[in-house]
Amino acid sequence: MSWRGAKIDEIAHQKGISKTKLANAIGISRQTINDWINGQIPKGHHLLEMAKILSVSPSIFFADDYQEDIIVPVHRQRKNAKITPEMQKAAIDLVKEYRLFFKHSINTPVVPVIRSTSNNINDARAIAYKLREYLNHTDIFPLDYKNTFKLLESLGIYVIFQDFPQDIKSYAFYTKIAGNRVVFVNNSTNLLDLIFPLLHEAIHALRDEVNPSSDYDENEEDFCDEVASYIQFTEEYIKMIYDMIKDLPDGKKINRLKDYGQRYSHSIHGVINRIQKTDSKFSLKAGGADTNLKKEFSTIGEVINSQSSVYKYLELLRNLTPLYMHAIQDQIEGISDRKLAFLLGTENTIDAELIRKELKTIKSGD
Amino acid sequence: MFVLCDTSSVLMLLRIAPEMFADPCFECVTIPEVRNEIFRTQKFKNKYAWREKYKNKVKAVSMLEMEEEGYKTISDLVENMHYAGIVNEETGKIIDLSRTDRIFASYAINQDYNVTTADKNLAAFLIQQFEIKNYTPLEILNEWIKGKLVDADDTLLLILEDWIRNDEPVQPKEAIREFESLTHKKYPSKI
Repeated sequence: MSWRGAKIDEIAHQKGISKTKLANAIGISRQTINDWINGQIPKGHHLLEMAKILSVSPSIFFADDYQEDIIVPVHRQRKNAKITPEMQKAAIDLVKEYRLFFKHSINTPVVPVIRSTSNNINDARAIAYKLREYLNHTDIFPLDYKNTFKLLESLGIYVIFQDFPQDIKSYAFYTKIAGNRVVFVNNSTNLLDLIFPLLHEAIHALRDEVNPSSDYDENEEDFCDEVASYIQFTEEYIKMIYDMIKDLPDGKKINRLKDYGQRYSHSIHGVINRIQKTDSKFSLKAGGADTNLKKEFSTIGEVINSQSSVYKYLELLRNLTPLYMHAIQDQIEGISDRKLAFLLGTENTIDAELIRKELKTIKSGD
Repeated sequence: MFVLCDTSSVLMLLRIAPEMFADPCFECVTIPEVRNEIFRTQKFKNKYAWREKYKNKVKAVSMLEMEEEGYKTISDLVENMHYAGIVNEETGKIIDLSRTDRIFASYAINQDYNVTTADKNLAAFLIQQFEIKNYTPLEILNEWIKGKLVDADDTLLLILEDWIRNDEPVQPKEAIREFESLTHKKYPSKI
């Protein structure tokens, strides 16, 4: 929303009311009217009075220009759920609540690690390895969720944990708010399901720098999937697993894959998908095993909410999403308790009072 | 002098006057969102273990009553002003309110109610932009004492001691002086 002071002149003129008469009727000086016309937002009670005198709705003095601040690109949803207008609306409505917050955050530029707009599969591999190197994660093993968040932070991407409304059927989605790259993560996302979509959205955020687009692009989605897959699983890791299991009976294949999934916090089907890229004949039904494996892991919301003390809760958030927590700390004086609760994905304003006190203590100790 | 009560104030006053919403003499109202918040499970330490006992006492206005004539215009105005960016004149910071804060503010403005809230930013928005008065819980209690709606007995003093123990917002010196003058009792001090 932005203030449209020029409307005062226009409407007063239409109604045949001079600025002096308007000022007198409101009980203010003519200079004040000029100040309003030139961009100063009137106090609410003056605005109401002025609207009454001019017989207009007060909304006429504001422009609904949220599209200038908010971009919610249309991306692939989980399990290929259909993208509906309700889903887009729900995402935009959620993001709008962060608009003022990010409008007044210091813009964190996304680190230009990649500049390519190519959709070539070889480029996907190269980009993935570059990003793993950037994170200093040079061994062959999969990225866990903590390192995934570290990667997003190092790239200048904000991460926000929220309970998504039912209409938003995704694990995570990327958006741009007042020039800031933000990835929203659904609190109900299982840790096994978390890493791939986070990486996918991070690639969107990086490519958006060089090739901004809000429209759905199937090729772009496939490319982001490729990069995400190669970041999560190196070729060496997939080869190691494949060599280990290829000659085993199916039951033992599943058990080995489950062992590695438990050890390195990843799903079984993610590895199978990758194996099938090099061995198209490789086939293994692992749906049930993956479902059982997920039961051994928490959702990201459960991990965050398992912290029983305010201090530990904030410490965890500061580790998982340091950019965002820093921005909250920066603006905390202007944020109401309820807004603080909302920004941190809690529901209780009583908790928010405790959180505020702890954040103030942390700030004075820093 | 009808007062729209926010969560923090309700939690401070409810045990003193359980009928504060049921009995019109108290002139207190609240909205459904505040009522829901009061009884929502806390994530951290349970500061108000007694809440459940008072569930039937907190009566909120209905949605129909809330969205009476004029509410939509005010609600749109509050949304527009909020997103255009309103500066708190005391802190120089942009005021960032939640959806429930904005609903609370819109209802107070439309009904021309005063408010009682501990949230400095919500209070600043209402006071600075709409000249709505924000009463502290002790100021409201003093009015109840003057109107003989509550007795300044030992139970009351225990509850006030709880305010101090629970680190509730510090009450203004003038309100403390008035309380002591009205009751001839000492307002509890920090232990």
